[in-house]
This record gives sequence, structure tokens and C-alpha cells, in this order.
Amino acid sequence: MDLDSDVQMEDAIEQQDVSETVAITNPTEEDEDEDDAGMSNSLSVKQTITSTIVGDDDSDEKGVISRKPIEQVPISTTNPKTQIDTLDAWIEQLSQCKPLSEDSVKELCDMAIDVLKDEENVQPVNVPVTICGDIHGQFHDLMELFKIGGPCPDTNYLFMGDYVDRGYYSVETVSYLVAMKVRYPKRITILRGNHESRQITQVYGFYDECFRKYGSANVWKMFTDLFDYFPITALVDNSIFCLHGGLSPMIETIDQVRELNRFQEVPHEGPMCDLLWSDPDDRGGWGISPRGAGFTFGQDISEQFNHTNGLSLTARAHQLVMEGYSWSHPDLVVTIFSAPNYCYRCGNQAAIMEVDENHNRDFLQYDPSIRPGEPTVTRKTPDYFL
Amino acid sequence: MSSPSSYPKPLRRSFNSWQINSAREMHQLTVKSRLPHRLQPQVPNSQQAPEGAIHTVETPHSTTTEIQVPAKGHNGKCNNPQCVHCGAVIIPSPAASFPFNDTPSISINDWQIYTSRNPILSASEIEEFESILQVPVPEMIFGNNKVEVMNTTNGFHLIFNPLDALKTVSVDPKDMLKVSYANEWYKSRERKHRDDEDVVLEVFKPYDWTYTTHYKGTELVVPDPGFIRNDNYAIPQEKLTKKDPILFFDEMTLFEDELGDNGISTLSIKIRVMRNCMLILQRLFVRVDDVMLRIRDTRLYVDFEDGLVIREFKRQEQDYGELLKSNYLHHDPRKMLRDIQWCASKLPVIDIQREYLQL
Repeated sequence: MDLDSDVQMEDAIEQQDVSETVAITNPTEEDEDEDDAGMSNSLSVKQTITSTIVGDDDSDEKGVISRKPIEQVPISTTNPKTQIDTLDAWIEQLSQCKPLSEDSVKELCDMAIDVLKDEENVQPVNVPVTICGDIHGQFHDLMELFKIGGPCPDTNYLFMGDYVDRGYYSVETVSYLVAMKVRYPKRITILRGNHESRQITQVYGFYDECFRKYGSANVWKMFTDLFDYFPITALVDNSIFCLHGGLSPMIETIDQVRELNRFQEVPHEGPMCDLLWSDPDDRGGWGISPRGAGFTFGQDISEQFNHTNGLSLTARAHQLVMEGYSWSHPDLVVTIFSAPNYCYRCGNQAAIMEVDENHNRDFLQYDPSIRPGEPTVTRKTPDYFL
Repeated sequence: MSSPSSYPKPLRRSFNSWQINSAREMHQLTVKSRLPHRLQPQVPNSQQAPEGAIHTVETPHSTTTEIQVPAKGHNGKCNNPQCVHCGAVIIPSPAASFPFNDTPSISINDWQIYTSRNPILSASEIEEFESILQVPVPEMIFGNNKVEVMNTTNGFHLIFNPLDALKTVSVDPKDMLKVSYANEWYKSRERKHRDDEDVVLEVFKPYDWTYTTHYKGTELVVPDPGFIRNDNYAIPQEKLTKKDPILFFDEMTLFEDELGDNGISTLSIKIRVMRNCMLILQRLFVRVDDVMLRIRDTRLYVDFEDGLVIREFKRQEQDYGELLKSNYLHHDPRKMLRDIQWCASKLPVIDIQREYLQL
């Protein structure tokens, strides 16, 4: 495992916190810190970042003494350290489910493009890593996920798409994950799901949520433009192929995925569409969905694909399963779904899959984070319907 | 301080009081969310009602209504007591549980009403359902949910459940719709896979993937002569609009499918029970984006006083583009097409069938 400068950065910030002088760093200060956050050179900060109240899970000593508002965290083109400070402030704010300002989102997305544009269509990921499925705007359950799986960056994470739509906190969820990605680019991998698309988000909630929270579609546009840069698949230690949907009849080898042009809206057809949409099926061969579009793939297809590419497993998300994970094609394909009590009413468990250094796999299942004001079952106000 | 940000608003400096307030609000939310809605006017004789107590209410006709919670025939534990203030059954259960499992019930004279709300089916339960149905179940299948109405004196017993609803889903290829871009998809695939024997471009075992059901409830026991078709038997609105206190209200989804993100198909059911009558509305809503919208409403009205049961089945349907056109002034016209209530008020009615049963 390479020595990751992310952790050192974390230490540097902790030092600052302990000394109770909250992150107002001189932007002209030259620093030799590594630019591990991979940011562009055209950033500036205009808005006030208000620091946040300590969450009850943040019980370490330093957290209790020094929570003053971070009044201004400038980003310096020449000083990566202040960029880290800014990102940390954003992450802190987001971790309490408070969305960033529109200007901050703009800057965050610009930074993220710089990080994501250089990632591959088949992004290589090392073990150990924890692989996660759909989140769908269930922010509090995402926080629960990090409690179950261990905090990032101490634990490496791979998310297989569908961060937005359906849940109430798509904005906070995707902002948080993107901020973590920019902050710890080597520690977290975020793939594209079929919901990371302009068309789908207009129907299933993310667009409406952005409009509601920001009063315009600007933030929606920034994020959906960013989604075009998300890698579409990942390969864990040359052994586990991870993607949102499933296989495509036009893709026989992983190299063929590498040749695709992924920087576009998710198309309605073609290999990129299939990778984000298709489902495993009990029936062998390639099937076509009764809806008239979309493929299903059988066990023979998975066997052939895993064999051709020397894989032990294909991990995917995309489908709701009561137990949080489910095996298909006995042990060739696994579906992982990480949104417990999906849509706040399905009552399903969620799961994540840990893969350790020796490729041992372990599934962690969890229930929704039961929180005040949001009972496990929503109570409907009696109405005199007719 | 630099230029103000539009969102979010800066917090007040005194975050201690903010914290306290927020904690209070959260606590209130929790508490409130578990109390039933206050209903006016209040039902008399409902103070200090222990679970299972019998209440008698004087009706204007000076007949006696006997209300019992849980219902007389309730088996097992009941986590849904009656509210001591308003007499309504508390749904969902005041005690949070996960996975949730709510089985409230109520008796009104010789009528018994049960509902049951559970999580979606597990993998093994889905297997069982699919072996019965021979088609894939919807993505969200609340297979253990139900709404049940029975009369112990006259032997009337009707139940609404997802399994029986799905049994009426068509497997006739002529009923199959296609998503809006199916032709485009098919043609491009046809070109690409022309010489590829592995890729079969025909749908194996087609079924109505919109899950359009014609389900009107399962008649377990219906006394002779059974329901009699008569479209003139309208459900009496005056009794239902009288705003008598609702003693029992529940609402649940039986199944829902997002149609592979091409729209939605959802079968939901609502029930409200008053002292002298009750109403069930089971609604199927199907929206296939850029193709069509469809509503199928089944209403079951029971008059406890007259022993009259009326069942109404109403079909509404329209082309997606047509409905969109009628709404062109809205800033986001498609948004309204996701609003089931709005659609129900706008979709043209194809037909209404009614039948009645006099007990």
C-alpha cells in the first residue's frame, strides 16, 4: 500500500483544531505540501462558510472545545493546503446534512472534474476496499454506512452509482461523496449509475430537489455536467469487476470498456447504456426486457465474461433486494444495495461488501439509521378521501 | 466577511440555544409523528380507554354502535391501541420497530376490519410468489400487506392483497406496451446483432410489465346472491362528506415498480372507517413516460347501518402527449404528470362499473 499523503493532511488539520485557531489561513503563505487533492488553478472563494455545530457522533475532545464559525476559507491557487482546509470545511458542513452554497458547489464540481477526467473507464482499485451499491439520496443512511464500514479515508470505498433521486437528500449525498472524492482521490472511487444522468434526474427527484433547495436548476446542471466525467466501471485488483448495471452483448473484454468514450450523457442504447442498465437473469443467454429495451444476461454469459477476463466476480448494484445483497449465477455475480428502507418504506436491509488484502469477502448488513422525526413507517394524516 | 451566500443562511452565533431548540424540535417531531391526527369533533366515551375496551356511542338514530380495538377476532399481539383522546386507532404503532410490522384492527358492531403492513418480500418469498405467478414480481413487492373486511353475522369476507392483484396481470402479447424509445433501441440492436446468434431480440415470455391489474379484491365469502351489477348504485357522498370522526385510517402500497426508470406503476390502498360507514380506495397508477397514463380505481363502500356494500370500478386513461398538452402553461408540465392526485382529476374516464350487495 502506498504511503498516502491524505492521512498526513488529516493530521495537519487536527493540529490546527487543537490549537483552537480555526482554519483562517493566509492565502499568500507558500507551502510545499503535496497537491493530493488534485485541484485546478482557477479557484477562489467568495462566500462565507459557516461552521457547524458538533454532531453527537463527533465526541472527541478537540471537537468539544473548539467549534467556532469558519468565517472564510480562501482557496489559493498556490497553496494546496488552504484547498484542503476548504474541502474539510465543506465536508464538515455536509456531514451535518447542510448543503453547500451554489458558489461552493460550482468550485467543488470544477475541482472534481479535474480529478475525474483523468480516471479511466475501468478505474483500477486496490484491496482492501469496501464496495457499496445504491444510496439514492438517503443521506443519514450513508452516514450510517460509514459508521458500519469504518470512516473514510481509513477505509477505502468504492461506490457503484445511484447517489441521487428518490431520497430527500440527494444534494447533500452527492455533494458529500464528491467532496470526499476530491479530498481523498485515492481512497474513494465513485462510479456512474443510471441515475447520474440528466434525463433520469428530471423525473425521479434530483432536479426538483435542486430547484427546491437552490431556487434554480443551476446546481442540478453543475452536477449533471460533472456526472459525464464519472468512471463507468472499476476493477478491484484485477479480480472483481464493478459496475452499476451489468454486462453488454457488445462487450466481451474489459479492454473494450477502456475504448469507450464515456464523457457524454448516458445514451439510450449501446455498450455504455448496457453497463449501467442491464440485469442478471435466471434464463441463459442474452434476453431482452419485456419493456422493449434493455438486456438481461444469463449464467453462461457471466461465466464466459469472468473466464475471458480472469475475474473471480462481477459486483453490481441497480436492483433492490430485501437482504441488501444477493448472489446470481451462483457465485459469479453479486448485487449490492446500500439504501436501507429504500424510499423510507420498503423495510429492506442494506449491505456493503468488504474485500480484504487476501480477497476474503465479508458482507455487512445494516438497518436504516432510525432518527428523530423520521419514523420507520411514515404516518399518513387521515384524510376524507372519496 | 465576504459577500453573502444565498444558501444556506448563516447560523446564529448562540449555537447553544440553537442546539437546544433543534433538539426540542426533533423531539417534538418524533412525538408528534407517533400521535394520531387530532380529529374533530371528538368521540364521546373515549377517555382512558384501555386496549381492547368496548365503547358504545349513541348515534343520532339512537341505535348503539359498538366499537372495539383491536377487533373481536384479532389474533396475536396488537401494537396499535386506540388513542385516549380521540378514539382513533394509532397507526403506525407507537413503538418503532424494524423491520416494521403493523397489524391494526377494529370492530364496529359485527364488522371487523384488519390491515397489515410489512416490509417488501425476502428473496425466498419472491421465489415463492414467482413460482405461483410465473412472471417477475414488481421491484417493490409488499407481498404481506393486506386490507381485510369481514362481517361475522352475514358471512361476508373480502380481502385486498398483492398476490391476488398480480394474478390478474395480462400475459397476452397484444396487451404489451413498449417504452418510448423501444423502436429506436430495437432497430440499432437489430443492425448490430444481425449475425450474432447468441443475441435473441425477441422477448421471452412476455407479460404486461406495467402490472395493470383489474383486481377488485378477493371475495373469500360473499352471501347469496352475491354482488349485483347496477351502475346506478352510486356511493352515497353525503355520508362520506359528513366529516364524522375517522376511527381507523390506514394507507399502504401493495406493489410498486419504477418500470426500469421509464415511469411508475403503483398499486396503493387507503381505508377510512367511521362510526357508520367505511370506504376503501384501491388505486392503480401507471405512467409510462412519453407513452401513456392509466388509473384504475376500486372503491368499496360499506354502510354499517343499512348493511349495504357498494363496489365501484373506474378506469381512466390517456395518451401521455395529450395530457401534457392540456398542461402546457405549467413551468414544468411534466411535474404534474407525476402527481397522482392531479392525474386522477384530469385523466378522461373510460367507464365506471358499479355493483352492490345488500346484507
